[in-house]
Amino acid sequence: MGFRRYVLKRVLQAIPTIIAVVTIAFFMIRFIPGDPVEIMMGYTSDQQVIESLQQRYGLDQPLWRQYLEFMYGYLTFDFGTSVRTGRAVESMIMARLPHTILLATGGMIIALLIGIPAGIIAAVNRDEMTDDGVMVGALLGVSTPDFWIGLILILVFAGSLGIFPATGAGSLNDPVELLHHLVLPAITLGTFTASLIARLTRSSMIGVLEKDYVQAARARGIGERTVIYKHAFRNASVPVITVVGLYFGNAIAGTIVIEEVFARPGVGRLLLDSIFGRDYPVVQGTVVVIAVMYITVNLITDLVYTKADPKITYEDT
Amino acid sequence: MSLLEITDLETTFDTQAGEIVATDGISFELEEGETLGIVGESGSGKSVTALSIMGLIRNPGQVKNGSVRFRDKDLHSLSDRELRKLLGRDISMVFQEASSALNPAYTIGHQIEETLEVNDYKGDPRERAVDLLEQVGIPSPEENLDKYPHQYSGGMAQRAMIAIAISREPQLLIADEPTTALDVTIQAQILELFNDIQEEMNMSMIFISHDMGIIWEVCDRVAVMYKGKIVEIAETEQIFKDPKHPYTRGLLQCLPQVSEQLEPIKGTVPSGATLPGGCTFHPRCEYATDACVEGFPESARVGENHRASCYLYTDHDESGEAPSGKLPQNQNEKPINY
Repeated sequence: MGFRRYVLKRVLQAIPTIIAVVTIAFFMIRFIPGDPVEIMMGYTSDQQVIESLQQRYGLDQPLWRQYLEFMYGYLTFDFGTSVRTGRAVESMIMARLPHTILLATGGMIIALLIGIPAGIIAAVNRDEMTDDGVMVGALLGVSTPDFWIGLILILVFAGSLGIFPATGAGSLNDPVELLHHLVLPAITLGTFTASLIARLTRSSMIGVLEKDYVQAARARGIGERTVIYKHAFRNASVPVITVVGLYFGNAIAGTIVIEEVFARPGVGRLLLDSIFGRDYPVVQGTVVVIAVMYITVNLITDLVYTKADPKITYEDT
Repeated sequence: MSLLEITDLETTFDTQAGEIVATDGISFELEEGETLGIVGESGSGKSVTALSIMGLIRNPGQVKNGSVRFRDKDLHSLSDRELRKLLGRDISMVFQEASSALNPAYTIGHQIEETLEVNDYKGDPRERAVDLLEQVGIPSPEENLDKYPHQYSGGMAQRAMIAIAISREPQLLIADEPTTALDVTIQAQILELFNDIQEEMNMSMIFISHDMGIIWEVCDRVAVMYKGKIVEIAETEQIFKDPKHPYTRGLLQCLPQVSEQLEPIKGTVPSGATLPGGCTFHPRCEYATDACVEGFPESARVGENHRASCYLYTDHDESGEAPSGKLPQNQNEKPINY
């Protein structure tokens, strides 16, 4: 099977997943007591006003009918308008999506830049001081809650030192400002994943370093650095890629907390605010976007696999 | 001067059960163009000997004593960089299981070309790689260069491994059980390939095997190892015709021969941490005496270019005659043909 056909097949396979995700989101949000109108108006308002507003948003209709209309809307790429702001859902999401993607990507880059070398160094110096040091660091990294790391970073780097801004995300038109605002949240998001990747890289590398082909590479006169970073790591990278893929998906969800801590205008925070406001269309739209991102990352992960391990081919899947 | 001269090589491994001596003061020489076989059961220290020569012993193992001289260089006193310059170019190695000694993430061609490049090959590495595959008998080399190791059969992978090893025409090739993982028919082909290549390139070989039959096919001289020591060393014909050490006799009696009863060596190889004192073979040896329990016999001359470490021969005169009445002569009195 060719590369294109494989990608096409995977995209088609994603469609039922997305339908399931939006369906669940549709019903879950409606199971929470209170609808958008009640939240907006408060329970003490005039019953007539509430009913007329509910009528306007179609909330008086039976649930199955609301669902059908909602699905019809999605099929025609009409994602509805926000109950709270009256703006189109897609434009609200699109305004915030870049900040979330930036944050997730930044966090993942930091996680990879720290996690992989740390894991390799630990594996090469197995059972020595360096290894112990890296492992203790990684243990701290996985067991410290990210919001706490965020608060401490704000306290030190934004408060005491004043090097980085504490809140906001900067303007999308100004890359320097964007990066400046990104540093602390990206470190916060990346710490956990970096620690996880370090531990995984270490154990994977320890296994690979004992393989015959590593010894054979040395016997061919290849330098130790090349042996480790090329011959060994290439083979050790498959489980690491899995985790990177999974946690990139998770990072998108993880941004919710971090966007809250750093008051960043991202998709995560939009979702949270919309749930509190029972802003049904926005919640549904956001969930779909997150699901699509998750699926895309998964697809990319599977494509990267075939690069890292030639035994994995498109034909197998 | 010999091409390779190994003196008192001692390699140990630190384990939780204590220090294990994998090679215990072994010495031998290898002449140019000669093939020396190292034979012994698993755990006798054959592979460790090979890796010690290559300087590839790593933590928790270490070469404690002895020297490895290659031409005029003491390999163990070279820096990593200097040693690396020799490896893959002047000295190379073929591993037991080619399918696990080839990197699964890179094509065969890439691995051959990489070896050529790190060893300063001046010509076109791709062209040379094609020639090499042809030389080791891999069909349609152009096409097979771009395949990954998992797309090769065991025999083909071993041929590719050999191609990598001979890519820079080394003076010394160490082959560590290169046919053990293969079918018998493929085994024969690979052995033939080794013989052809050696003849063509006039290189020296150390050929490690546990199979006396294979040793007979390939080697000029044989060193028999047991528990880290060379217990007997002689020319191949001599070893087969007139084995001196009881362990060598045992190994030869393990050779399957049509219409004859196999006689396995009694007992098993003791593990490193619980080595018996004295001669390590004595619990399994039918000629063992009290002396064997107490000390390890010095290597004694038992014939022309023939030495053995056994108390049966220690009170030996230099004529090479076996002391009378101690060891029964080889019963069938004819060389064991294989």
